[in-house]
Amino acid sequence: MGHVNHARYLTFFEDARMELLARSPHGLGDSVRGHEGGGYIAARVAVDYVAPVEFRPGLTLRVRTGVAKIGTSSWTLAGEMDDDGTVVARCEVVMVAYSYEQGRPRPLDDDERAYWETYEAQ
Amino acid sequence: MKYIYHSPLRWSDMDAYGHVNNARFLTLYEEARVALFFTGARQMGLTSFEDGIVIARHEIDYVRPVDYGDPVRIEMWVEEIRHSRFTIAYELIDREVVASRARSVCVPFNLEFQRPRRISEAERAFLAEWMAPA
Repeated sequence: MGHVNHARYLTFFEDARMELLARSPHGLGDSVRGHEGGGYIAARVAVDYVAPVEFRPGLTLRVRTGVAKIGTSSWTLAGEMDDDGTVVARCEVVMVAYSYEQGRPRPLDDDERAYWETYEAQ
Repeated sequence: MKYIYHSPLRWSDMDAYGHVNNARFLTLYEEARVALFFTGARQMGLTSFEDGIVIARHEIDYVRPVDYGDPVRIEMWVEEIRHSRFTIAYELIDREVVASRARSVCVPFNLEFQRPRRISEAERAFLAEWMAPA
């Protein structure tokens, strides 16, 4: 059909998310290059496809990500992707702060909470 | 009736965390969906899904990480059929344990007129075959 494959959207949203995570207090989390102190898992992803995107040279999609909700050990990211101002998809991701060492969710620490609060929807 | 699909994993399905990347799950589910709705349906003489079907929404729950290894098993069934959309539900099973659950809302689409169309009687009968018993 010549459209951008729907599974790729998830990767675009992920790229935006990883950029946010990389800048967060614990960076990308443990299990990547032995970083210690925090880890995360994506527990749930929901994507709504609003309009198809057809490939064209120079196509650049913009993803805007905000925080919709913050809980004790989880937080929800809401992303919107647009093609030159036209919304093409929306994505909601439930992230869970996770200790790989203990094999279970961990509470967000104060620094992390403060970081994510700065991205809460205005 | 559930449709069972065995999907091999590729080395490149893994990300820097050493697990199958969360976005790739969608591609694994897609393999199962294409096998049933294009290849499987064609064997039963139904090719209208190939003329156009769009995904309106995906929901994926990640229950546990999947490491590189044996093929995973995807169990898939039709959850709901409406006038111009239907919902597919799936479970991804790795070493006999459910690793993920997902749901896709599919809309038959008329590419010529660029708009959704109604589900035909033949399509409805095909989909009904794959409705899971409650």
